[in-house]
Amino acid sequence: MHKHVYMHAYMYVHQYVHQAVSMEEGMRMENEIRMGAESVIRPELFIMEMEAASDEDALDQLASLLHRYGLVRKSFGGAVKERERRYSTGLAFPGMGIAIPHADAEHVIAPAVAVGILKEPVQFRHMGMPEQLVDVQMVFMLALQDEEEQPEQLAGLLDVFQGEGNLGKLKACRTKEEAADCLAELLQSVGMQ
Amino acid sequence: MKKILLVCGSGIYTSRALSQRVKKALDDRGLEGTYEITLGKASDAAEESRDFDLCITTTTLDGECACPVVIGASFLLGRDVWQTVDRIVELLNGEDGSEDTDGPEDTEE
Repeated sequence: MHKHVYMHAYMYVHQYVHQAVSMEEGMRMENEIRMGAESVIRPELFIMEMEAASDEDALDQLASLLHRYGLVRKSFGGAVKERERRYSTGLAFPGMGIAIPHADAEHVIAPAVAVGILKEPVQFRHMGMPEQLVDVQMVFMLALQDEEEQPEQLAGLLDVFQGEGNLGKLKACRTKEEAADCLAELLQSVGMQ
Repeated sequence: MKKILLVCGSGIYTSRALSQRVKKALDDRGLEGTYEITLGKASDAAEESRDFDLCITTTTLDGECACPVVIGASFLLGRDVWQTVDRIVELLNGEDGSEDTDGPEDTEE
């Protein structure tokens, strides 16, 4: 679906470029359309200074955000919590703990990531080592579809997390827009390596 | 050809990200072409494991596996990866997999 939208937009802009606008202007428009059609990083899916009483509270808040934007089905929230209980997703990166909760694809309408930047850390159990508790400062809730290839941006997130200092940069952002731009830039930087 | 089962909770995200990293690590050790990787879900791993030489998992498994199991969390965290790779190479080379080496992230019953 996304690819089709992109192709149409691309062809349209190309035509337009040849007809009327300067090369530079055309490139800028092309880039805007590409980002708009393909980006799963959206400022409205960020919760800044998030207050959560528990891991499940954080999961509820992010799942309802994804649901509000029509990106997941109503069943998604329950499925994420159930999955987190069985297969925890906390990851203790050096310097910062995060969690990457997600659910089976049947609960997802479109690929997305909702990000909660927590005011105070919340404990999650570690992925693969559930007896180990992780102080989580950021939660990345993934809406994933069961396709051969996830959108590049979602697949690239793990590379971003691994890069030294990246999580700290994101945590330091003040506004949703700043955070979304920061994450998009970090994704671009790991993609170019 | 050695058969590796790579497992995460739902088989759609973590295991895919992991497979690239495992593949690169094994190829760097000169194992290219000697193994194949299949992705799977944790809930099916115990049953599927009969057909595999090794299972690498990012999560706890629901049942007992018929093949040796290695925890692959280090690939995601990007630290202590070489220890995990050592263990994988050792197991693929058919050395005794039942011996506990006290490596907490490397072995699981």
